[in-house]
Amino acid sequence: MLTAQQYSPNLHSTKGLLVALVLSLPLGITAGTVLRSVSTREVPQAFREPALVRPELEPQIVEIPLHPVRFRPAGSFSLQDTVVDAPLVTLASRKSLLIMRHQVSAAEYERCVAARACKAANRGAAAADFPAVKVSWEDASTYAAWLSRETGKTYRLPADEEWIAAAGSRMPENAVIAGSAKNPAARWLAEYEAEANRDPAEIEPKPLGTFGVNEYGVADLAGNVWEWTDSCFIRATVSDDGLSYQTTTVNCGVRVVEGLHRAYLPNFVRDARGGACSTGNPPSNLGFRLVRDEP
Amino acid sequence: MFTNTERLAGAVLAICALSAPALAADPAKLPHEKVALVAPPFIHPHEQATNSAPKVIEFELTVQEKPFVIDDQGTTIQAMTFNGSIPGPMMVVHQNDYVQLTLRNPSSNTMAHNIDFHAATGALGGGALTLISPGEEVVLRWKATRAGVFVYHCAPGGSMIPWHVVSGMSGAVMVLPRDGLKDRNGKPLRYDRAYYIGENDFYVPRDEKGNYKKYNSPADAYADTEEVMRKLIPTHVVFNGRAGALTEKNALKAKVGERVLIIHSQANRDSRPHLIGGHGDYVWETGKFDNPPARDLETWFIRGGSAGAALYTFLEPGIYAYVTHNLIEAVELGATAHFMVEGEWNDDLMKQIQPPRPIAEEKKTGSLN
Repeated sequence: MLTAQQYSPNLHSTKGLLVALVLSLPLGITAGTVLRSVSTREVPQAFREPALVRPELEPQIVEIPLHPVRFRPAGSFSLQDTVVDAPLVTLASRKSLLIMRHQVSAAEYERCVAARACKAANRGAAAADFPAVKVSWEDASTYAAWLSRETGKTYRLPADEEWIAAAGSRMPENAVIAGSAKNPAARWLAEYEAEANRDPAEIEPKPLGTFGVNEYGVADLAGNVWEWTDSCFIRATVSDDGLSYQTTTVNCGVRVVEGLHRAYLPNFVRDARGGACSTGNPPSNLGFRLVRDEP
Repeated sequence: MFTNTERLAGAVLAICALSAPALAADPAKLPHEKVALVAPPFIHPHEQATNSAPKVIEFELTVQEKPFVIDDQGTTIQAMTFNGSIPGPMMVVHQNDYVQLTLRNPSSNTMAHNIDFHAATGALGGGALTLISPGEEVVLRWKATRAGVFVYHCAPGGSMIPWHVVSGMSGAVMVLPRDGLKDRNGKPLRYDRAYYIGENDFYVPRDEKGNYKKYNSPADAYADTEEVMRKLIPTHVVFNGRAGALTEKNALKAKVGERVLIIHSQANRDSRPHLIGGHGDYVWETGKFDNPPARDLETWFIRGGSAGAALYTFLEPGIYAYVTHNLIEAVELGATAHFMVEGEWNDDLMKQIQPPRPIAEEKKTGSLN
């Protein structure tokens, strides 16, 4: 009977306020502002309310053009019971790769922490435009899952070969280490020598962009933040001709980390400076960037 | 019964006997030899067994107060050093030589310093006779009566003593038996190489965020540092003054078949050295060579305030880690050194019979149950 236009409640009286409240409810619904409880349980993508998708969380993406990747796969390889370098393999890509221009920043990671989906990093507050560091593979995977839910897109850690494809000329040199069937120590000494001669990376994280971009426009590769990949540590036997290999064991408790050099770290480690699995220069900082899968 | 001549001769002899101490050589009249010290982990050239008669060996130490980086994160302490290194340099003499030390405290320093030689006798190891202010120098001579490896350190008095020591002001001397090292049967033991590894415990204060603090001078650092010291838990335990100082490009070298002498000193705190992959063939754990060396040790004990010595002949090539076997201190606090050893592998001592492979039983049944 009464429409809002015909009746202007006197808001200066309590009765007026009550009337205004009662009238505002139907108005509220038609205006489209919805009051509903925010659920923290996981909502499958297909049922995600379009209104809840947060495109402002989408990171800057670089498209890596199709190109074959020539590299030595990660893991421990042996040829006739002697540990050897992984063989050089060439992978052709079937579709272009969409990868974040920057590593996940401290600010971005903090949003996940504020949403109570990610564990707070155990460090002092980092400036927003610095990379998120002291992050484990578990932390990175949790972040990727959260970002996927929030954006309605599929974000995940890159596989080792995807990181290498995006790295282009910044791919670290995985030195060819001389080995000897009769003398296992020859390889240990050669590996140690190679690690000892690497220039140590600076310790303190730097603002995103400090280490420049590569030929694809991807920033800060092989800077002083080592990046988690999703790839697991494998053991493999190399064929007699040295050209192919067969995986015998997979250990996903240890994941491949890429940066100035390749490292293998337990998936729960946030800080490798103590050395973890590697001798020589351990990763100065552990962070990550994500790839996006298109359907 | 005695003639007058005989009585006179007897009297002269008696007088000579009474002044017998004058018959011993005046050390000032012995040959003097100047020796230039080298920075650890290396040791100045020296004979192991010597045919020469006792000498006075002259050394010089200059105290340097300076900022000193102790880890890869750039943690910096206001250090106090002998000759600029942590630890101070190793001095080698033989039993019954004399050490004549000129100790200098340049005007650029801010505090008084001195030196206490654990190998010396009297005057607080020499500390009471060597306390010098900035701008002063002093010369002390002491007789190396006991054979062994011994700590030296600064000890200027009261609370300054522990503080100067945990600021880096210690080193070691080696007093070799004149006929060199021997096993329990008197058989000579000669080394092809010798390294001096000085271990230090540091106590670096942290700010509210947990980051290590930096100070502009030792005086500024003192109050905060003393608070950490009194809790008795070091923030760093390192060899040669810095975490990783004896690794990578500075890893210690040896060859299969070489016998290496490893001298280890800790002026303040207990340590338990262990050579990962090796042993102590002959170990003077307490560091004193008149005691027969222990054989075949896996890990030995350096009591705080002492030095010890171990001999090992490398038998396999590869990388060895030399650690204190509190592994938390070794890995997390910095107490690790590396040896790179070249040579041929000996399958008899160790051989990998079957490289890692999937468990056969699990492959068949899917599990071990």
